[in-house]
Amino acid sequence: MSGLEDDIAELRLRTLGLIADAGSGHPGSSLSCLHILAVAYRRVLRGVVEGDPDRDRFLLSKGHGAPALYVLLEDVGVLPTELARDLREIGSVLQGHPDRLRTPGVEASSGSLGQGLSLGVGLGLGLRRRGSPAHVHVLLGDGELQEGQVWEAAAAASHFGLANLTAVVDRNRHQHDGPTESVLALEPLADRWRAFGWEVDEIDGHDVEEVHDALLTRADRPRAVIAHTAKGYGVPFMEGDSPWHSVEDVALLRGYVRQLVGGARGA
Amino acid sequence: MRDAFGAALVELAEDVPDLVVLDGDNATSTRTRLFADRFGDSFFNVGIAEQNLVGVAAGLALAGARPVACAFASMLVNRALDQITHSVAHQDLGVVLVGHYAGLSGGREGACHHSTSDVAVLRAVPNLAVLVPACDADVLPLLRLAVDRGRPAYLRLSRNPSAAVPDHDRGSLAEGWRYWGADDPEVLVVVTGPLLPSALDAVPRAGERVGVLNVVSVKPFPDTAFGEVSRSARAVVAVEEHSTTGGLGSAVAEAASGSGATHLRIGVPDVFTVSGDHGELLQLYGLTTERIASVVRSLTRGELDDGHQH
Repeated sequence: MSGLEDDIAELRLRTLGLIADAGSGHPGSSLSCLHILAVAYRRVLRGVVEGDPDRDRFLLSKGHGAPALYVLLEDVGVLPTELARDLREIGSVLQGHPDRLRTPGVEASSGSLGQGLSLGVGLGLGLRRRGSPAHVHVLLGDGELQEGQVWEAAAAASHFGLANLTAVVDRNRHQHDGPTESVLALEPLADRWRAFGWEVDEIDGHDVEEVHDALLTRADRPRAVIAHTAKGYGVPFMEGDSPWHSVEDVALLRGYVRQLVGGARGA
Repeated sequence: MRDAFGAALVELAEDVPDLVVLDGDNATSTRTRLFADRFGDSFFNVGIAEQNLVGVAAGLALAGARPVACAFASMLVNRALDQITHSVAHQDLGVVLVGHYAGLSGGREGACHHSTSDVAVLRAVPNLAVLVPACDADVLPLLRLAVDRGRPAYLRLSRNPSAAVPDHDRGSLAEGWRYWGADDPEVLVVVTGPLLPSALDAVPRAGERVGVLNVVSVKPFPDTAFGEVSRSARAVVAVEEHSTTGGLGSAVAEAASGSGATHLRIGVPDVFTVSGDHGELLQLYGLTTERIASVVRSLTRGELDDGHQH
């Protein structure tokens, strides 16, 4: 997995580059889930590149992490490189939030928070009904768990015994207006999922080995993986800083990206 | 209509193996119970949770199934509008949303179970068709059309049985409209849903230049057909068991804007409705054969003076 670890720095730079060019977006939220997306698309999901009807599904319910998703879709070759540009510009296939009908490889549109887990439950039911071996992964933001619909879906998933469903929570502990525990507390989060009948795993969301094992573990019921992460991981001036949920300072971001790109070229 | 709907699901399931039905603890009321008893593996009761109901239906469509998602119209549309908009319509998924107890047919349950704004709200959602059967016999063919279409659709069902309508002169369910009456009507009644028989009864057909256009597909609105039958009309009267704000009456006004014809709307006023027997509620809000007849009579008598013209 060491190769992947090294590649993540490059994936991070490409993610920041898309956002810096756009001048808006959610860098902190994109970087907190980058390891999870990288491990999923590089090492876990089966049949995605081939477009197999029985491919594993990955749904980005926290749609504001879209830039990281786009970078991984391009990285594995589902999104043609010539289309992986002009994020948030008119005419681009890269919408501000994922749009299944516009962007190759996007499995579900998202952006209005709270809707992805229900889609995952429906996908899980539909795939199971037709005997498909596919597994469904849904990546949720932690702040997103404040949406009531998530818990409607959580109840349904365990009621229907969906062993083909894994929810990954990007537990970066920050949301738009501040720390989750001061905006609307989520703890005890693992107990909440357990109370809804899910098997719960807690991991370091920036440890690729832990992410890999957690995404491949199966149970007789739905699994919730609480991935402890840092907002803006890998960028000193963003890490853990709530304002970088959105682009706080375009000039600072662009300068940082230019400096890193220049450094990469110089090396 | 709910009995016709339950039977329609069972009949459709024989031809459509991918058909799945979702309900939210209303299976007895919506008659999805008939389907559940026969095709239990294809039926999902997700409990009292409309937002998840709509999302799960969208997920099933992503997996290749053809979901029909049922709930009371009021809760389905009001509670799950964001899910209808983004999980279903924005993704252009083949989900058929069925709103039960539409209009005032929730009767004695009261305002919370009446649905008089669903058409107004859903008309503004892109990709979504809004289909309204007028009688029990319309339900199966319209459900089949909606499922076969493979795109988002809302089917608006009244709770109560509705009498069959006579053979129409022009149009079809598949075209989204049907027409009865004169080729060049002076007064055109445009009606959607189970008030169609009342409109047909209200209009004296023989020798009068009056026509009745039944709009089955409120969205997409049958602009061409409406343009043809309204061309000769001095007055157009929209009739619906729905608020006069935003529903069929508004769709007609939009389609006819600039035509010079007078527009009148017969529908539920902009109020919160009250408990009562369904038939009595129709009386209370003026949705009756007598009221429609009175309005049409006043128009055919030439009571449209210049002051009424646009």
